[in-house]
Formats: sequence, C-alpha cells, structure tokens
Amino acid sequence: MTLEGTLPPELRIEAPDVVRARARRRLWGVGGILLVLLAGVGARGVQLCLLPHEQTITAASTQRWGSVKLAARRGAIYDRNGHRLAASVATPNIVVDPQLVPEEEVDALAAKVARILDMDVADVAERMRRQSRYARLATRVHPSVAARIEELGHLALDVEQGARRYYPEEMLAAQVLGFVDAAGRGRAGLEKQLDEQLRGGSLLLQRRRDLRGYSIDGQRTRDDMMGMDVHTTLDRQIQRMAERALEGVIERSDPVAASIIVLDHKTGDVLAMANAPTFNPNAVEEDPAPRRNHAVQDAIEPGSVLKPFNVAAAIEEGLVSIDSSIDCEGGSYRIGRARIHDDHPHNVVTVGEVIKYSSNIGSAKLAIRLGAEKFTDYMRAFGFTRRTGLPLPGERAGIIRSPERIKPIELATTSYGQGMTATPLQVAAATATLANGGVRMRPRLVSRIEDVHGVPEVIKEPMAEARVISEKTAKDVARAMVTVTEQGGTATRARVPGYLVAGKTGTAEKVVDGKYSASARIGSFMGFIPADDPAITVVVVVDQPRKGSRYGGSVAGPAFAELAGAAMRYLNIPPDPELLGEPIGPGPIEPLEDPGPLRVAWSGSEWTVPDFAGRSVRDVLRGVQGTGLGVELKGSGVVVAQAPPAGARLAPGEKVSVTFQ
Amino acid sequence: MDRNVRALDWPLLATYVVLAGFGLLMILSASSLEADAEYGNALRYVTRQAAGIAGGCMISLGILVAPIAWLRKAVWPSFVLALGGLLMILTPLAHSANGATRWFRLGPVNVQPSEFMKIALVLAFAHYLSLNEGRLKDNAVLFGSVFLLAVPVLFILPQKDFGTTVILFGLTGVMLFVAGLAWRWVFAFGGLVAAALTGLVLLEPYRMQRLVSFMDPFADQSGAGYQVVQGWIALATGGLFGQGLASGVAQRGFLPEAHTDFISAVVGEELGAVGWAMMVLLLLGMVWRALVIASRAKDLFGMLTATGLAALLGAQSIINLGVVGGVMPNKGLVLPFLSYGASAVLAHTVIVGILLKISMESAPAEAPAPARPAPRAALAG
Repeated sequence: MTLEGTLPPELRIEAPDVVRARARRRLWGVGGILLVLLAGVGARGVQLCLLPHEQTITAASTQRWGSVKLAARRGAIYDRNGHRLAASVATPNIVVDPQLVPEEEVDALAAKVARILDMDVADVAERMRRQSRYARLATRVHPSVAARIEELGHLALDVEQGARRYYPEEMLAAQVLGFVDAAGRGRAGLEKQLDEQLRGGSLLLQRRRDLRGYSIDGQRTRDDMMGMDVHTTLDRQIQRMAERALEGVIERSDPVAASIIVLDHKTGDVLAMANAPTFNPNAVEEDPAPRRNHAVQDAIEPGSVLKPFNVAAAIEEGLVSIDSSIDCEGGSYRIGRARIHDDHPHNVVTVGEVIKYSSNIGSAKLAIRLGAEKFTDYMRAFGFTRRTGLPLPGERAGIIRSPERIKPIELATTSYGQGMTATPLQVAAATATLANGGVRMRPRLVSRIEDVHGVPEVIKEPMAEARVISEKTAKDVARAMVTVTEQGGTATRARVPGYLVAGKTGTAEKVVDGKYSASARIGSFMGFIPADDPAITVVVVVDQPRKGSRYGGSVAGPAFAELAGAAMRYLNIPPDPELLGEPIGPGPIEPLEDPGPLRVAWSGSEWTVPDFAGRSVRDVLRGVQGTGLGVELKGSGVVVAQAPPAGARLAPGEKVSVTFQ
Repeated sequence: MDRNVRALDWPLLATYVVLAGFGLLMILSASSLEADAEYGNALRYVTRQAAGIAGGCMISLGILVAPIAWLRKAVWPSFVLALGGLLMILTPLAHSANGATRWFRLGPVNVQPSEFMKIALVLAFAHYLSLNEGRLKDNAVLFGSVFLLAVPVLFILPQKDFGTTVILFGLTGVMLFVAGLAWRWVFAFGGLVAAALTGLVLLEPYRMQRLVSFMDPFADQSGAGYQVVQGWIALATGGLFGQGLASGVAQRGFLPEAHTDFISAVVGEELGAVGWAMMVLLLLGMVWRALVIASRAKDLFGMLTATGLAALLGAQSIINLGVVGGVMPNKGLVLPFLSYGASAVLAHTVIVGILLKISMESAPAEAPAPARPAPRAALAG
C-alpha cells in the first residue's frame, strides 16, 4: 500500500482490460502446463500399475510372500461302535526359520513367543538370530500352545506336526492297528497298509506376509488335506475278551505265540484279532517279535481242525452222508508204503464220529475218495491258499500241494492238516462258512474310510463270496462238531454252560528247521456258538505250548470257553435253560472282571429277560432301571437263580424274581 | 445473494466433496492397522482428518458469507499469522515427525504452518499485485515482490523444507507472470534458476547423484529407493482393478508414509489403475475448475488468487504423484485432499472456500432482462 508511492511518475500504467486479457492468456498458459504435467504423472502411475518393471515383480514376490508348510492331521481308527482305537494327538514342535525374522523384529517376536512357550526371552531371541534356516524352539508342546503360535501368524514360525500317535486302548489290537514311526509313517498293521488314506496330504502354500513377517491371510489348515478316518469292524469289548483269554493261555501254557480271531460269520466282520505276545503301540520297543500279527502272518500246519472241511466236501459231493459208516481200521492204516495212525483207535464209526474222535484214517479215506482235484477245489473254495485281502501287511496265503503232483499219502495227510499250511485267519474264515450255513462271506476288517467331514471315501459292505456247501451239509457238519465238545469228544474244555458249542480241535506237529519237531506242537480250537444258531465264530491257535498239555483241546479249548461265554453275555444271547442243568465240563469258568453292562432287550412290546446269572445286586438293579420291570430280590451276593428264566418275555410292570447267594 | 449462489462453482464443490470423502476412506484403509497397533485406535487418523475437514469447512463458510472485501482485509493479518506460525517451530512447542520438524503444538493439535504460509503467500501476492495493477514494469514492484517472497523463505529455511520452498518460488513466479511480468524478466529469472541449479550440481557433485537417483530406485532398493520401490510394488500388485479396499499389503509395514505422502500407492494397490486414474481425473478437474474460476474473475485480485491456488493444488499434486511415480526426487509434499494431514486438509479446504467465493463474485452484474437475452439471465428473470 505504501509501496504504491514508490512508483516513478514516468512509468505508464497499463489499462486494466489490457492487464486482465493478458493475465487470462497467461493463466491458461501456465494452467495448461500444470494440467499436462498432472496428466503426465497420472499416466505414469497407470503405467506402473499395468506394466510394472521386472524388478518390481521380483521384489514383490521375494518380499511379500512367504511359504507355509501344511501337514495334515492323521486320521483316526475306530472300532465298529465308534470307539477310538488310534488317534493323532497333536504334540507339535515349534520351529523357527531365523532368515525370515527381520533383525528389528527379533526382540518383539521373541518376547511374544517366549511368553507363549514359557521360555526365556533371551534364549528364544538367540535361536531367532542363528545363521541357519532352522532352529527348534520347543518340542512336543500342548496343542493349545501350538494354536497360539499359529495365531501369531508369523511366517518364520512353523508348527511341525509331531507324529505323536496315541492308542487310547493301549495294547488293544496292537498288531492289527500297527504303529507309526517318528516321521509319521505307518509301519505296521492298518497304519501301514492304509497309510496313504490315514496320513492325508501336505503341501507348501504361498502366503502373503507383512513387513515383520506375519502372515496376512491367516488360516494355516485346510480340510481337504486332513487324513481320513478308518472305521474297522473290530468290537472293542470282544477284542478285550479275546486278549484276556489269551492271557489265560499264556498263564496255562506259556506258548511261543498265540492268536485268537473272532468273526461274525453272517457278515465276515472281524470282531477281534488278538495276538500274544503283544506290545504297546504307544511305546514301541526294539524287539519286533511282539509286533507280529500271527493271525495273518503265520502260515502254519493247521492239523485236525481241517477235518470238518474235508468231511463237508465229501458229504456235499454225495459220497457219504453224516451217518454213513466208515472203517477206521483199528487205528492204523497203510497208504502205499506209508502208514498213518489215529491217536484214539476205532474200528467202524460214522462220518460224524470221524470229526468227534478226530480220526486221521477216516479223514484220509474220505479225501482219497474225493480225489485230489475235488479236495483241493473244496479247500480253495473254503479259502485256503487264498489271501483274504484284509488290509493288513504281510498276509500269507498258505500252500496245499497241487492236485497234479500230490501223492496219495500226501493227500491223506493234507486232509488232516499236515503237509499244508494256512493262516489262523483262513481257518477262521473257513469255520465261519460252516457257521453261516455254507455261504462264505469275504472277511472284512474295514467297513468304511471317511474324510474329515464324514463323507465316505470307501465303503465296504458285507459281501457273500460263494456258496461252498449246502445248508444241509453245513448243519450236518455243525452237528458233528457239537459232539466234539460233548462228553467223549476231544474238546470238552471248550464247553460254555448253557450253550451248544460246535468245534474242532487241532494238534499239529510244528515244523522246526524244516523237520517235524518231536515235541513242539501247535494246538488249536475252532468253533462257533451257539451251535444251533451261531452268533460268533472263534479260532484259537496256540503256537508251541511250553507248559502243561500240548493238545489243542486243552491249550485252546479253555480260552475259547472263556471268550465265548463272555461274548455271549456281552451280545445278550440267552443261554438254553435246558443246557444249564447239565454237568459242566472240567474246570469252573473264571468270571470276567467286567462282563459289560447288563442289557434288557426291548422287542417293541415286551422286555426279554436277560441272564442275571453271576450278577451282583447292583448290576441287576442297573439292568432293569428304566425298563418298567419290577425285581424281587432275595438274598445277597451274586445271582444263582431267576424266575422267569433268561429269554422269557415280560411286559412292563411285570416282575422278575432273582435269588442271590 | 441468490445470484451469487447460482454463480457458485458447483462442479468444484462436488469434486471437493468426492475427493475429501475418498481421502477419508483411503486413510482409513491405509492407517487403521497401524493406528490400532500403535495407539489402540484404528480411527485415530481418520477422525483427525475429519476434524481438519470440519475446521476448513467452517472457515470456508465464513469466507463465503462475509463480503469479499473482508478477505482482502484479512490478507496481511493472515500473512503475519502464518509467519508467526513458522516462528513457533523454532520454539520448544515444535513437534517432529518422520525426521522433520514442521509442526508446533497448539493444545491437542499439531499445526503445520507451512501449509497456511502457501495460501497466505498467494493471497499476499494477489493483493499486492492487484493493488499495483498495470505497474509491473516498475522495478519497485519487483523489489516488493522479492521482499514478499524472501520473508517466508527465510522463515522456512531453518526447517530444511525444500518442498515448500520450491512451491513458494513457483507460486511467486506464476503470479508475477500472470500479473504481467515482462518477458525479459521471465527469461532472466528462468536463466537464474537454471544457473543456480547447475552451479549447485557443479560445486557438489553428490547433488547430481541425488537428483538422478530417483530415476532408478532399484539402485538403492533398501536405502534411498526403498519407499519408491515399495510404492511401485503396491501399484504393480494393484494391476487394473486392484486388490479391493482394505486389502492392500503395502500399508502393513512395507510402505512408509502409506497414509500420508504415499497414499496414492495405496489407492493403486487397492483400486488398481482404474482407481488411480479416477483419482487423477478428480485432481485434474479440481485444477481445471480453479483455472476456469480464475479466468472468469472480475478483477485482478480474483484472477491472481484463483490462479495461484490452482497452481498450488496442481503443483502439489504433480510433485506428490511425481515422487510416487519415480520421476521426481522426494520432496515430502502431501497429495491435496487425499493424504493424511489435518493442517493440510484444513488449508486445502480453505482453498476451495476461497475459490468458491471468487466464483460467486464473478457472477454477471444484475441487468435488465430485455437488454441481455442471455439464457442465464432469462432463467434468472
């Protein structure tokens, strides 16, 4: 304002319209340049978005992306009722890739990690500064700790899924389940055979990270990589009973090995497969011997347990009937230049009695009449020399001499289970065929394999393989097998009070170093119960008893009786009251520690009275609780009598009288 | 009044509303994580920005309602006030951020006086040069102009704020040129600037290196070129349509000043080339409307003020985006309306207010309808 006065008077003042017109021109000139420049830098940005430099792309990928290794959780193994037999318990290791922790981030990250892992901050920081790509921070941490580490989302931190496999039932079905090694690979049993399905996938995922190395996208697990769950046909309770029965075998006979197989012959389901010696898959030891699944891995000479199949074949072919006579030659019979003998000499007996007395001569005669061709065909149809195909590693097929080359004496011995081999499972499956009225069901151990959402990947329905013999033949042979456990039979110790047992013993000479051993035997018992309407088929094989009797009836029979009796109670199959009165075979049946809960079956309108025998007052009261049935209790102790008897039907409101002693 | 309201530059106002809103959105996206981590308040920066906008709107409303003469009366007081603000930075009230001391504390808020100095300088020059309308051949006016520029520059020098210094020089040049500076002076000043730059480079060759280093940020990727490389990564990640709002990675520690100077890189990453182009178009629209207002202004004061403010907005945008694009060395200048900075957005909102006021003043004088059958007048009648 005052500067106005400094204007020298000689300077001419330009007219406002001149000044403003020029200003307008010039402002558009300057403004135009600005607009062009602004559009220019704008275009530059578009260029950088759409056509980035090679270096930008490289820098972006190295800087902003990190990889995460995803490993799947191993699937679980269940029994038929959904009880977990094998499960993966996450006992993860926490590791760090020091190269992925920026120096300025070490202290902050170490503090966070140390708090979670309950470690010394300095110690964690030291590991994060190591000049390597791998440093272990903690091993076998609790899953919740691992989850918190994962929540941190730092890409340098990795949760190594430890291959910690947990078998909640400890030694139960150990050889069937197998075990998993430290690297997470299944090394035996189902764990090995179904490793691929159980294990699931693993892959490296690229994840965006922020400057300090934290994953931006979170989420480290993916469902589709989870291992699948395997549902087996095993029944935890029956398996437990089988293993307990084996314990009895070990105590009585001290064998090298023993195994028990329980089949549901109607479906082919393996309800139990127990072996001794056994191991705890939770803590696998060096010695491989206890890990052997003798039931499928041992091809042994079955001995006399083979006779019923030979007899069945002869009957089915119409050569004889169960009541036909056959001369057992007084216990000694010559075939070619060889001679065969019976342990219990007989002369003329019925075909059925060949089974009852376990006559080698009778069996040999039937096989020779059948001829080698027919005989091997039938054995093959019963499942011998064929693997069952259960998903278990190392299954043996067993051998029978080919019909073209077999000599008559060899055919004779093969007919009673010598000079041929079979696995205990094959014997069990063949026995199940008899129990099932002649129809062979394909053995089944795994019913389904499903993914983490319960969607089945594999479903195995029970499958009938073939009718091997007619129902009548099967019934006839079964009836003959019942006599085995009756007075005068070879397996009276296999009897179960209240039930008819169809069975057959076997005592094979064991091959040791290529020769038949003079002393080593393999004692076995196969059978099904109740004989008239079988519920389960059981095979007990005791390899080389070193204590007490060596005969199948004595070493395997009691184990069968113990297991079968417990299983009948568990399966709620009422005993035949008429049979209960009969004198019981040698030796009282040891009561099981845990006979399982008492069940009162409901038919829709009535209750079926269970067998209260041997139960405590508490068991009885629990059993009827909620049924509306009344109980009248007399005395105390365990139940010795009941009225009405087991199997009777009562309407709600009716009463059961139970006497204790 | 009715006539003036209709003359108000509605496109400018609309552009401003969109830009300011867009800015709030992008600041939220770019800063919420960091703000939450550091202050436990994800909305910290957004609320402060909103407060700046609100303050600017209040001042603008005052400008719009008051007679234009009041604005001219306020020129020198505001100039002095801005200078005083610059002085505050030399006091213990000074506040530093990111290695630069450009703020002072005023109660709960940090004020960046350089943002106001730029407006004050434009107003001062417009006022001074319009008072001396037609007398620009007088050397005294030139001396006065040099004095007018020298004072704030001297105040700013201790802050080493070269970005603002360059803007102040540029604004002065533009306003003198538009006011009618003789071509010989234009060339003389131009030559002087060129000579000074050459001299500086010759005297200290490292400056040359610094000057050209921005062209290849990968040469020093972890040092001087770091921020630009991070900006480019963000843009490259954005591609055509971007990663989506709040999905950018740059602001997760990679890109320094993601919510302030480099907000445009976040725009690029999250909204792609399309979003970036929309942003530039809005800025272009803003500068263009300011130039239209300038050319329609009835007096030299209005012309010069609008031109200066247009140049201010344009130059800031060009330099800011040029730095992100790697075609200019880093100057630490914000992007108008989009970058976080309460002082800056308040100042830029006031700029919009002043521009609107000038647009109102340029309304054609009330005249008898038959004499001027212009459509606008017909509508008014």
